[in-house]
Amino acid sequence: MIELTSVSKYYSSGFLCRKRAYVVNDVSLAIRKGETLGLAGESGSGKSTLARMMIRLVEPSAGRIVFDGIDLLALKKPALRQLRPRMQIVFQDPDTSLDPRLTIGASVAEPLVVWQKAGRHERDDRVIELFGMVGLQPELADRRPFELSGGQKQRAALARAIALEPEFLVLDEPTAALDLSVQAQILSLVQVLQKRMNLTLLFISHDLQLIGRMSDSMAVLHEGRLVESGKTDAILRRPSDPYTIRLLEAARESEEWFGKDK
Amino acid sequence: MSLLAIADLSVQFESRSGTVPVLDHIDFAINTGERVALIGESGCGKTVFGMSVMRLLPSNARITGSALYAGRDILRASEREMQQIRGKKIAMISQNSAFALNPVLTVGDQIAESLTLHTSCRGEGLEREVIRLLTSLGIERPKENMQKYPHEFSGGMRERILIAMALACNPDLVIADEPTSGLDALVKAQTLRLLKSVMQDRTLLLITHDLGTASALASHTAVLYAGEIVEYGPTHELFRHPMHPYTQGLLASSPSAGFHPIPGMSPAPGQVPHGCRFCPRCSSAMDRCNSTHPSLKKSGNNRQVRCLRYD
Ligand SMILES: Nc1ncnc2c1ncn2[C@@H]1O[C@H](COP(=O)(O)OP(=O)(O)OP(=O)(O)O)[C@@H](O)[C@H]1O
Ligand SMILES: Nc1ncnc2c1ncn2[C@@H]1O[C@H](COP(=O)(O)OP(=O)(O)O)[C@@H](O)[C@H]1O
Ligand code: SF4
Ligand SMILES: [Mg+2]
Ligand SMILES: [Mg+2]
Repeated sequence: MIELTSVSKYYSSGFLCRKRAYVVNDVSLAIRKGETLGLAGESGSGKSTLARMMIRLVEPSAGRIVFDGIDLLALKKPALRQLRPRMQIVFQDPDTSLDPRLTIGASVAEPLVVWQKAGRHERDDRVIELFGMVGLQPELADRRPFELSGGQKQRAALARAIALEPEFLVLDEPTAALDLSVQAQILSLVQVLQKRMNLTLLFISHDLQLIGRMSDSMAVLHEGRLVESGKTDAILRRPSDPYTIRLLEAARESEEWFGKDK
Repeated sequence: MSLLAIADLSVQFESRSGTVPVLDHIDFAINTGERVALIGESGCGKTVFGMSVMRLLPSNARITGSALYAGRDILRASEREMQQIRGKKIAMISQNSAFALNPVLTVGDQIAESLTLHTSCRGEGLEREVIRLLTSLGIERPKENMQKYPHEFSGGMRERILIAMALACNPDLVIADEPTSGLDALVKAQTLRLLKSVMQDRTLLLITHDLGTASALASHTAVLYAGEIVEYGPTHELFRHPMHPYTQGLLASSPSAGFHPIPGMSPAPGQVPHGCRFCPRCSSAMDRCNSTHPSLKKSGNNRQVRCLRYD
């Protein structure tokens, strides 16, 4: 469904812009249709930048990205715009996923309006349907983001992201700010939607337990480079890269704290 | 003897659409040397609880009840008295380290500021104290780093600086609001180890939705649901043998323990059921749970639970 070849992103500085700070360095990977790729790595490792390049919210400095047979980087603005509804993103921070000035009903309806997907009445019905799909009570449609809990905001952001029935969805640490029960709810919802809509997913998290639960294959990013990629089960059973091993140990350490004597 | 004893604390917010109750008749005490975690879903009122103890809630908040600190009701203290308590006696590490620091002051100046406000440290002694604090929190090259601005640090470093600021005046009670949220797995593990060592002999109120953080740091844990405490007990007992169906569900939601979410959603403030507030989502519910509101009762040694099954 989506394939990256030697994708890099750097920011230039210094004399004649000769100094290059690589944020993402020579990354190649692919996600098959209907599958989930888990992307792990510590904060600042370039996960979000890589994800944004995959849907061309950020311009890569080098490399090639093919989305469903289309050379993404060769597209001009209008053609790219035509492709937009097919790829969507949910951000880490529920507060940046939604426009604070709009009610969440309006936020969810907005892509339908922009893409003229439905007449007024059908649109209202569709918004109610979307609210149902993500488990939001329709009465909440009139509220603004600050009047909602973090879990409700992420549900609304998810409803907005699936409104146009995308084929590829990026989830950038969607539950980092949520507690366990809400996290489990939203992620099992994602899995249901994935099956129903045959979604291809990029799931970003620094929590390897979650990656294990959510993904078919996974990749680990460290200082912008891919240090590990392959089937999730195999990597979690036998990580080969020292950095992945440290991440796994940190995950185990926090596990061990459960039930340990004080 | 409790360092902080909160009785019958309720908090409501006045808004255009009416009054929204957030916390309901909370009874809660922390003894000197205890590290108590307050856990619960996002939006359940954990931050509001911490802010009401600090008396930092916005003006549309209505607070009732009492909070005795060293024999004094801080809910009725004047703003002048509160300035003596805040930072010096009770210090808070606020949620979201990106916003909690002043972006235009060097971190050295910010730590020095709270020291000047509450202690007699001045001049060279002041600088020595800032350096000592930064060093104790594992910040290398403190002399160089104290000249830097908050944005020059990573999230984990900023969290350490916030901890240093909170400890600056050697407070009796530290309130830490989500000290590890937003940190990645490696930095979180580091920060937890550090917090564990600096909080060893201190009294801590830890506010978190992260069970790993609670179990790493807290001697006792209180579980908040829909504005009420539903369970309280020694942390490791509570996690090993959760009594309240909500706590049981929370633990079963962990990715390593089945990843089974609790069905349904917690009620919106002001729309709580009449009987047990967890009833619509509870798999152990009985007929009377619908109509009878359970109270928080002692159960065995040291534990409390709000559930009719244990009556
Ligand atoms: N416009 C920019 N100019 C310079 N550096 C940048 C820019 N955008 C991002 N970076 C740097 O790129 C690195 C990777 O950033 P990115 O946000 O992709 O990381 P991340 O893995 O998503 O981290 P987090 O988990 O904290 O969100 C960081 O060091 C960041 O400072
Ligand atoms: N100033 C305010 N006015 C109205 N409601 C508020 C205000 N501050 C917080 N709330 C509400 O109080 C509840 C608890 O919020 P908060 O303490 O931030 O939760 P937590 O820290 O557990 O995530 C939420 O439902 C929130 O919407
Ligand atoms: S009182 Fe009843 S509904 Fe409430 S938690 Fe206990 S068993 Fe469940
Ligand atoms: Mg990110
Ligand atoms: Mg909070």
